[in-house]
Amino acid sequence: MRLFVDPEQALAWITRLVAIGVLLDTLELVYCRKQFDDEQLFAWRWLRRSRFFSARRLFPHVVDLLLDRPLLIPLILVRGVSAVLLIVLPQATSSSTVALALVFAISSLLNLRAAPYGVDTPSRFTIVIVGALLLRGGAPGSPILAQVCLWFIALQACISYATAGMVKLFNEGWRSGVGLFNVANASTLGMPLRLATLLARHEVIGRGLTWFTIAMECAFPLVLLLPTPFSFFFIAWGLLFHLTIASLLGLNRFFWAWIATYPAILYVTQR
Amino acid sequence: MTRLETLLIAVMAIWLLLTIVYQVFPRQLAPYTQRWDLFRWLPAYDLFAGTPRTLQLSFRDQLVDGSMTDWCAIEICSKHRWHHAIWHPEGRRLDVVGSLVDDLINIIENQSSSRSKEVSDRFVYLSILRFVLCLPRAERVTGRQFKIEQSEGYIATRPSKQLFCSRIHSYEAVCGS
Repeated sequence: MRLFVDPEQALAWITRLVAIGVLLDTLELVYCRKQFDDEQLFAWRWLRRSRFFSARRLFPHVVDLLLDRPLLIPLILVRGVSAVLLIVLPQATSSSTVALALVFAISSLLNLRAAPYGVDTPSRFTIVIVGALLLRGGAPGSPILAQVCLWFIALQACISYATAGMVKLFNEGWRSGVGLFNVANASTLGMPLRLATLLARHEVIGRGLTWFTIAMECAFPLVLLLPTPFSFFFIAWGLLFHLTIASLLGLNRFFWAWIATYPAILYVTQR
Repeated sequence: MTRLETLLIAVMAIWLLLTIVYQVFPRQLAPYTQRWDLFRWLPAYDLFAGTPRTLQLSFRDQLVDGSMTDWCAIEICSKHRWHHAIWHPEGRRLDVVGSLVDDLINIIENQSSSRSKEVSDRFVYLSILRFVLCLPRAERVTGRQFKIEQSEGYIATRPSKQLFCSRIHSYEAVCGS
């Protein structure tokens, strides 16, 4: 089976998948638009009082105009429309480059706005992928730039898994084999109670899954070195891993951000 | 290779290099990224690095006659639903509240008791307070207080332990600002 051997096809699918994530993010933000109201936690007049903004002189009039509610919601909608365009027309054209530029710029503004509370990982990762696609859009006819872009995205994914694995390896809780139970048992993370109960009753399963997670995350960069049939094992694990955390932890945006890198990984592994 | 291609490839190479350096030295580089990476273009991949804590945020109200109501627990995570794998709009707000509670406890635990007065001036504290004060209230309520407790999670062998309790805040002082 040979998937995404054509760089243009791989890039089109990355564009499409990351755009689905952006669209989902847009719809969720619009659905929860009341959270931007003046008395709420995400009100601009509240966020600008944080040290992050008060200690900086970031063109206050421009920032106020862009990040306050009256213009914020239309900007979010523009990002959503750009995402739809990218889903429908993911090939590298001038219109898709404009759409990528809009998604990149508005997502950057949203990250800036969220900075006082900390920007969530999928938003940061999405910016990286969209940024790479945008840079590639700077010379859409260039085969070498297409390949560099695919390598960049594949390496970012590998670094993400390896880093997540290594930090777990340096944590005593994870090393002692109870890392997964601790996550399942933390009621504030939203996992179902029965999973914590299951892992508490069957410690061996918990320890095994904990070490399997660490091992797979640390070893994930091997996906780029192993021959094709073996690399599919990592891809299958990654898909299952993201489906599991999406369904158990409700981290739905992680799924689209990371799965969007898989066409790049598949392209690189088949080189 | 054209100049434009070289330039674009160089930008990607630098971005990748900075990403790697940031993953290796996150603490050392944090002051610089906090200051200069305004749009958070450098990703942080240390996911689920620590042991998660189960922190419970609760509040109680002061009534007009000065008496206090019972503590009321606030849901700072959404109950598990399978459809959250596809659609989970409230997740972001709850995530932020959970992070704020966690950050406040980290600040309290990492500072000396002589400086504890400063906690109530922090943006983290004030944000939690804003969130708590803006929750629905009865008519005869004049002020609200919040506390944070730590438990072991779903399966607990010990009772919850109180980590922090705020003073009573009046509505006019905070919600109006």
